[in-house]
Amino acid sequence: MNQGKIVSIHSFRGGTGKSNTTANLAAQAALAGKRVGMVDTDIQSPGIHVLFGLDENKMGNTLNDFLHGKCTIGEVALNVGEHAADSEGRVQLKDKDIWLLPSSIRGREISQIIREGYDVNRLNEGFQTILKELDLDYLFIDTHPGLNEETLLSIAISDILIIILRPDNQDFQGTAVTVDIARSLDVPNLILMANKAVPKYDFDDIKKKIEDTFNAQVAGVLPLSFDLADNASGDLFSLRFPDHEWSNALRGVADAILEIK
Amino acid sequence: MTIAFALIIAAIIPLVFLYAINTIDFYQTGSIKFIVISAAWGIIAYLLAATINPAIINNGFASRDTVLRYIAPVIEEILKGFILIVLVRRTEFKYFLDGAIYGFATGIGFAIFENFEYIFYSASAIELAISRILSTNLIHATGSALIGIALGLVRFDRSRLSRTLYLLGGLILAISIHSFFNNMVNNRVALLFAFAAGFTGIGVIVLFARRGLKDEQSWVHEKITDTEGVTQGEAKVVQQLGDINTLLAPLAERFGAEKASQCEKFLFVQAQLAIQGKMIEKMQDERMRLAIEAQMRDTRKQVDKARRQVGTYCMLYLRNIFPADDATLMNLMRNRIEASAVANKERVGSGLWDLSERLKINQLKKSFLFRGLSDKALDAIAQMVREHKLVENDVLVRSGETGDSIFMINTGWFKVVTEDANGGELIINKTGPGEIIGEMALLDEAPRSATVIALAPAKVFELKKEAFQEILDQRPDVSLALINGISSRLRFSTTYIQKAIDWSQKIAAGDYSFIEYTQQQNSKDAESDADKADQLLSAFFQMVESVKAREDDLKQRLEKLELKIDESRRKQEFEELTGTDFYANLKAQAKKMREQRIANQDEE
Repeated sequence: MNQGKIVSIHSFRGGTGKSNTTANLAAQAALAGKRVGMVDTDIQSPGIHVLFGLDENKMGNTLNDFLHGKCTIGEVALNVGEHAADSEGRVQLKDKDIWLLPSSIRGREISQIIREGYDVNRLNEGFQTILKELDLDYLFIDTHPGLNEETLLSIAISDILIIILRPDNQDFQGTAVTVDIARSLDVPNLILMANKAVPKYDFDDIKKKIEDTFNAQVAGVLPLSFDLADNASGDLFSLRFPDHEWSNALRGVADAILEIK
Repeated sequence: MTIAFALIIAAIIPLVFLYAINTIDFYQTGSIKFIVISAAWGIIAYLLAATINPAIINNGFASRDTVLRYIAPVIEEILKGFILIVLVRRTEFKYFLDGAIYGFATGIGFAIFENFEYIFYSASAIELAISRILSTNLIHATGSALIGIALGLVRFDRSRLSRTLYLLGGLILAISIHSFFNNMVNNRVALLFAFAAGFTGIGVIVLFARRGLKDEQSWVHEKITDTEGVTQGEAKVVQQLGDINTLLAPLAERFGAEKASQCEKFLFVQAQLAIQGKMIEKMQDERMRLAIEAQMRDTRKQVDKARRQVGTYCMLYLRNIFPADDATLMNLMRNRIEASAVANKERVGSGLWDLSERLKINQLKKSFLFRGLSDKALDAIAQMVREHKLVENDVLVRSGETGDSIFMINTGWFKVVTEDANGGELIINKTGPGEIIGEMALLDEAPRSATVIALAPAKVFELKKEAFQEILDQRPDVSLALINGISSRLRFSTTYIQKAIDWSQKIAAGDYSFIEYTQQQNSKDAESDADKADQLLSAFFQMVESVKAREDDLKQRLEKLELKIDESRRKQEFEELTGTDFYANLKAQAKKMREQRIANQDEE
């Protein structure tokens, strides 16, 4: 039996659509019959829970509790497949094996962890434990933007690193460093994904440019979409609007992940 | 010798008379066939009479004198009448006066043979023979004509009493005249009487004809007043034509559709003449007056021609129903023609209603082809052209079609277009009033070289190939003008091509500045070939400009995607991140962990 894979989703800057991409990629993997976990390690500004219709009351234990030794990692995992029937997109995850390990959205807890910091090794242990406990095929880690200790950790431990970038100079510069770090840390699989590409540009050209620049696979160029930005439903977009251009491109990235043995 | 001469006279005079009836087209619904049949029956009737009359005398039923004076007229008139009964009963028999014509013919056929007999058995002097021939012909012709007209009246009358009266009246009158004449035979006054009888007969015929026509006339007038009420204020020529047709319906029924249309034409040209007369009164310009006078002469010729076509007999009918001085009818037609000319100027210009020949000529003069021609020559061409009206986007000629006409633009503008490789429309020229279209296909007999589409409402004259070639044959000046026109077009093409090459070179050199400049110009201001070529090509080069814009846009995109990475910064940041103990430790741990996982995997 294969061990579960850790898939880290990273971006050099915020606002690349990282949480949204993570949630949709995880959902696609779950739809494909995989056992999937998601960890929101963006402790400073958590966001992924929104896409699963969770709020303070619905969340039980959080990653913050685990890091502070208040609970085990298994007690943090929340099966979102069981809580899925509240929207058109999420309802498709009903009875699927998909868990979310959310960060706390309580202001006090957030400021506490920023102030005090936490032991990244304990985080790593938590990842390894939950992989085994839930017998996961994939553990998706939604990271904090930029390169700090916990991000470096999630890169270091990941089997697959997905770097999301917007096709602009600032992202390129930051991505270049991240790619160098990933190579330095011997990450086995590096996948690039361009998001929020302005539709009037030639996507094939963008793809080629990125691949040439970083010498890495670009699994998809996803368009900037007002439909997505709006996301009035707060739903999983690729499930709710499977025929949308963005959803099609996202499935391409999900397939690239699932293809990796 | 005398006898032979007399025989010839006896035969020729009546035959000439019959021939005259035919040539002046005096009869209408019949054909010469029925006149010949009638005359032939006259001969048979004579032969029968020549058998019966002597038989009566020889058998002692009556004395020769009694037979001659009283019985022969009865027998002869009845015998002659048989064929009339047959002819009048035909379904094609439409007009009661035709009965008189058949009667004349029968009487003449009879008289010719009777006179032959007389000439053979008498040795009279030649002048006596002639007077006898004339008088006998008259009496026989008049008698039978009276019977014929009586039969005709009977045919068209519903009342049994009047039918009986007509028949008896005709028969009695014919027999009486005949009998009276026979009582005077050999008397010197016989010839005078015969003439008197002839005139009486004609008088009776005319009397009846007038009576019949009077009814018709009052009916028609009723109709005119009716239609006047209905269409007053309307100026649609088509409808008026319809009205005239209604008015002419009884005529058509009687004389056939062709005759009716000839009458219609006659009435129209006559009305036209009246209007031209009126126009001349109003006209101030001497030159125009002269032109209209010339037109009037022409119209008068047309009136005469139309009158001849209608024929005397039908004309009599027509004149009775639509007399030339009939103020009601003439005013009606005049008003309508004028109203239609004013209210609907557009319509003036075709067929019988065309009151604007002059206008047409002036328009033809606009065409460079005919600029040098005299009014007389233009008048001839005006007769050959047809005017067409087009609305915006109407296609005048289509590329690839065979062309058998040229067009002269009277008003409005056209674009000359071909298709580019993508099926898009490419304007290669614009053309307007005075220009001609389609002469190329006419000269080289190749299909139309381009499509010509109206840019706005337009009027053109069409001239058919044959007519055009005839003009070219007859008028070297027109041929010359045509060659001039084609050369100037060729010159324009040269300018166009030169300009296109010039501009293409500029574009190749990256200079697009001229496009903006040329687009500011308006097509109607073009004075020189160069200006015109500028405008037409600018439309094409606008396309080039849009290609340029697309290229610029693409360049912009490439710039955006020319994402640059600051390598020294990249290196510096990488070193800062990896230069810590944490990183070294992390890297070592990560390595160990991976090795561990691979080992675990291998174990499993």
